[in-house]
Amino acid sequence: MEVLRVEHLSKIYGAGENQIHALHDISFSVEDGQFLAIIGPSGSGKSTLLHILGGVDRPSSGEVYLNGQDVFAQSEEQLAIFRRRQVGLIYQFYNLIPVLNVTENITLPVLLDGREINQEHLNDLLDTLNLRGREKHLPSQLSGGQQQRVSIGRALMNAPAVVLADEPTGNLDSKNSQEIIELLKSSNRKYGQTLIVITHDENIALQADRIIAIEDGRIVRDEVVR
Amino acid sequence: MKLIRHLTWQNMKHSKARTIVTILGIILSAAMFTAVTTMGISFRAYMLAAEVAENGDYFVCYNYGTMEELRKLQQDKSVTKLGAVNTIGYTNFRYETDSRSVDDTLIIGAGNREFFEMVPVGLIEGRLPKTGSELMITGAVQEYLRESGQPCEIGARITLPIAVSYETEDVVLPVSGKPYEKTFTIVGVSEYIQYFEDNQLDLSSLLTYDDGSAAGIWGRFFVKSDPKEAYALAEKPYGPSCTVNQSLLDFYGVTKYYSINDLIATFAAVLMGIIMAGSVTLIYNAFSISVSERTKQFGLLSSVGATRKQIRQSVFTEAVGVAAVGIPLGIFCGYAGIAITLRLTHGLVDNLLFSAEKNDIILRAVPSVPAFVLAGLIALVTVLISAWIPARRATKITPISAIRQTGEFVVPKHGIRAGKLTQKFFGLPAALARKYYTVNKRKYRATIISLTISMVLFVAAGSFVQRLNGTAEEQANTDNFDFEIIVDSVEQVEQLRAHPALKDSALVAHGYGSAAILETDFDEDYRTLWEAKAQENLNMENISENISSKYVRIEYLEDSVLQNFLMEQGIDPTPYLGSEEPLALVTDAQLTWYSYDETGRPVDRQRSSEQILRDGVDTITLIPSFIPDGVLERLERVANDSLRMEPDGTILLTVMVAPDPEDESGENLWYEMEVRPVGNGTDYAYYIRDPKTGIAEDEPADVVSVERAQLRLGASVRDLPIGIRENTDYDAITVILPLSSAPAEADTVSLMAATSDYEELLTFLEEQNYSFVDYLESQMEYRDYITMIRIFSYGFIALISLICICNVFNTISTNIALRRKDFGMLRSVGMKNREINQMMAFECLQYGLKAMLWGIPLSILTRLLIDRLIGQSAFALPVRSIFIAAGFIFVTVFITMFYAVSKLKKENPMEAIRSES
Repeated sequence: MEVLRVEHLSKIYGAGENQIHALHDISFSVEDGQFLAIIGPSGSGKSTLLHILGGVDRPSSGEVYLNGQDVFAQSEEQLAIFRRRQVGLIYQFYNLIPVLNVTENITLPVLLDGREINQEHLNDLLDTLNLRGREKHLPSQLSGGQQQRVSIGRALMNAPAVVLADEPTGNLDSKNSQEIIELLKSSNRKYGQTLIVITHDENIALQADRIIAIEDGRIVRDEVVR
Repeated sequence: MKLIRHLTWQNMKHSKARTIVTILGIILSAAMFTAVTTMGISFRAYMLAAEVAENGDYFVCYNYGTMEELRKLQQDKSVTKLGAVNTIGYTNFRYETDSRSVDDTLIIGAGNREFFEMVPVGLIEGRLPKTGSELMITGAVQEYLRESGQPCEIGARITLPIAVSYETEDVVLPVSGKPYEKTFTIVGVSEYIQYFEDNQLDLSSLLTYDDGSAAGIWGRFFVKSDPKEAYALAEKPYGPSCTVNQSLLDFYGVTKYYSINDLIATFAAVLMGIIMAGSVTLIYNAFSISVSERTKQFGLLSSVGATRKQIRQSVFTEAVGVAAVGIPLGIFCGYAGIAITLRLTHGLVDNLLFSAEKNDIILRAVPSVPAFVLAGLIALVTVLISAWIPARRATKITPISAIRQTGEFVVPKHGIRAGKLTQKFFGLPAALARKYYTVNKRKYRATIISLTISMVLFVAAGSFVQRLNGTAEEQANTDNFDFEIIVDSVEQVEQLRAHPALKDSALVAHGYGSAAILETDFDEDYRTLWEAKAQENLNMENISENISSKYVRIEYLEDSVLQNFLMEQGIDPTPYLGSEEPLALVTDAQLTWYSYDETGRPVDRQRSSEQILRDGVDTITLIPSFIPDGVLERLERVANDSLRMEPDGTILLTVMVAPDPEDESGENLWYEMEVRPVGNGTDYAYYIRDPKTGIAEDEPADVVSVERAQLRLGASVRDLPIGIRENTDYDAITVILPLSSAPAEADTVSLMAATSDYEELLTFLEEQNYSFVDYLESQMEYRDYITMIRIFSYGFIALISLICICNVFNTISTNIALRRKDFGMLRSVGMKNREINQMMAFECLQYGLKAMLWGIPLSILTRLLIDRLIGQSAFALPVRSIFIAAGFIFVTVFITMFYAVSKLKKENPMEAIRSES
């Protein structure tokens, strides 16, 4: 079943002579539960695409449908809630709130919703992410790998339809990198979430179900690997 | 929302320094708001207490009401308090002593409890009466008792004959009844003497307590009600006449003209406005910085799904949080500050109101819950206003800007200046400083505004106080003596002169007369000034065509003092002393005149010392300076008079007689009379001329004497010996003669004294019951008044400046902290600490100069405004104030910058580069 559909997506930065076409008329769709890797050289537009899919940036033209809903037809308020519940974003530089501890950072989307935390789900996540015993630690007290695991936890906490990861291992050593990818894959398997990962690492890309290659803002290759 | 509160709290803990500084700023603001509201309330309470102590605590007073009217008044529902003093009888004092004969009938009044509470009776000794057998008497009655051989001290028992009717056309309700005697015990003495005046108390000279033992005949009823109903109550017929205590009603806002409440409120509102302006810049800045620091965080929260409302809430939660801590503390500090300040300025302030000083009312801080609540609310509103714009800015931060870590770097429209010239002359650090300044201008706007406000306020306060000092000088006692003490005997003079606080003195007797002076005998410069002044001042006559009448003040000065003075002046004293007709020393006139603009406002003021009579005038003839009784009786309604000299030397007095008021068609009549010297030259006879024929009557209407026929004039001096007042009148000439030449019937003799210790001599004179005039009093009072204003003005400025310092500290230290990575990078490529210091110094210079660029013209403008408001003419650049304010700006900016940079210079460059700020 199709969970995500992108239609004629374009993104232009700047104006006049300084215009940059980050994305040119991109269209594709993603099946529910699929692990998609998006690869491409620096400046190809892959991060731009991911940010638009995550609702943190707006396209210049085109539509994005998540579970049949036009993402950018929503108001700002609805978009915020969309980001909270429908997607989970993981960044290269972790982007944790420095004054909140591990538990608080992970449960941030739930707290924003004003709902009660499902303690069982949280404990499960903490175990999966190997963060038990560090619940009260602040980000400054964690290693790079641990911080990235926290950010994964945050992305998964609300069980979103899609998890989007932008170079999640870019800042990590090879050991940590592999651990993170394994975590992402296991959540993809365990929770059945659609996973879209941007990477320039071929090894990681090859672990995905499908690879889309982007160059100069255009899809140059789209192949199902498994 | 729980998360938002938690997040906000964590952020506040994380940025401790900034949070503390923000709270400090709020404390300052709330303290100042509280100080203003408390001062307003306290001052009002002070004035109200003084008013009540002086004039009584009532709104309406019915006079000469009957007992029946009193009963009706007691039943009136709008009356909340009723004090009544009923006349219970009259007593008569009739006796004779060596010096006088007394035949005086006085009222005995009985006041109820409320009366003694509401109406000040001027008790100076003993206590108030509590029963109908106790009596409070005035000092005058005490004298009567003493002179007629009756006991009069506190505790004495006296028996008074009391009549219950008194036949006179003045008293409204004489009631017949049998006279009787009553014995009273004197329990108190009051200083009030019975007199009748509108809105003043008409107190009986003998007051007892109304315990129902004596029936009232008529009374005065003092009433309190809802202030708004006072006037309506006054219309009711509870007495044939009624007065309303408007001066008290002013305090309750029931006023026909201006309201004291309005006055205080307006002044307070202006001050609050200024405080708010200063506070808003600080608090706005603090939140602005908070938002800047948390840009990434807000973007992140937004990317994770926080709504705009939630992000806005985060900023307002911080606002409420710091307000919750700062405002209560601020209110406490504000009240405590005022209470302490008033205590310390105790002696200075109490002279503000004569009625307060007289009744020992002290200006003290009055705690008032409404005042605290008002101050707190205003402070809260200030905080919320300040947080509003930053909160809105926070909601506009896009998630993408947070993710990209582009921060708030916005490329200015015209790009960043290359700074080539700067680099060429001052080196790379200066060029970098220039670039940073260009980029960060917007961030510093609030700080520069704050610095500018502080500068302008400082100059304004300085100007205000300086102008006040100027007016104080005008008020200053320019005489060379401080007290004029009436002396009766040589012993008194010796006693005074022996007192250590008496620095110098001279005995003086005052005489006067009038002189007819020819126009041509005036000094030319003097004449010019007088004519110019007469043009502006319509009350002043022009110099007449041939003669003018001048008031002559003759000061008879102690011979030895005069002699010493003349010798000091290099004048041979012989002709001025000792002979039968001594020369009179003439003093110059000290004249002040104003020049005016087109609208009639004074724009310039000048003083000069002018010789009144020209050289060569060596005699003036004294003539009577008044119209004698005989003439007044003949002509009745004399309204105007003028003097002139006929060509043959006859002095002619012209008077205007107003028509009989009952004669509707009456016109003014003019009478001339010849004023002829008779006999030995000190007598003058007034011969009225027939209005039709112009011929003088044979018999004079009156003959009067003058003190002396002529004054032989000696030198004219600018300096004055001790004891002689400056001649500041256009219309008078002051001459000095030796005291030994004073006529026997001259005025009393005074000792004009200069003091080396004002307080000591004043106390001595009061204790010894001397009659004296204190010329230094108003100057001292004014000086105290200025000191008090100075304290409050500069106190206010200091607090505003503190706000400014907090602002500067907040902005600069945060901005530098945010540039941690930049500093790390600069040091990593080899920039020395010295060069970093240079860069900082150049940045400081730019911010300081920007603040001064606005501050100096605004300060000058403010000074002009203040001068205009005070009515001062000559404008002078407030150079000193501007210098001090500029110094303050630069010092604050420099110290803050270098403190902030010093922290960064200590750390490892790589740590800084890697840091996520």
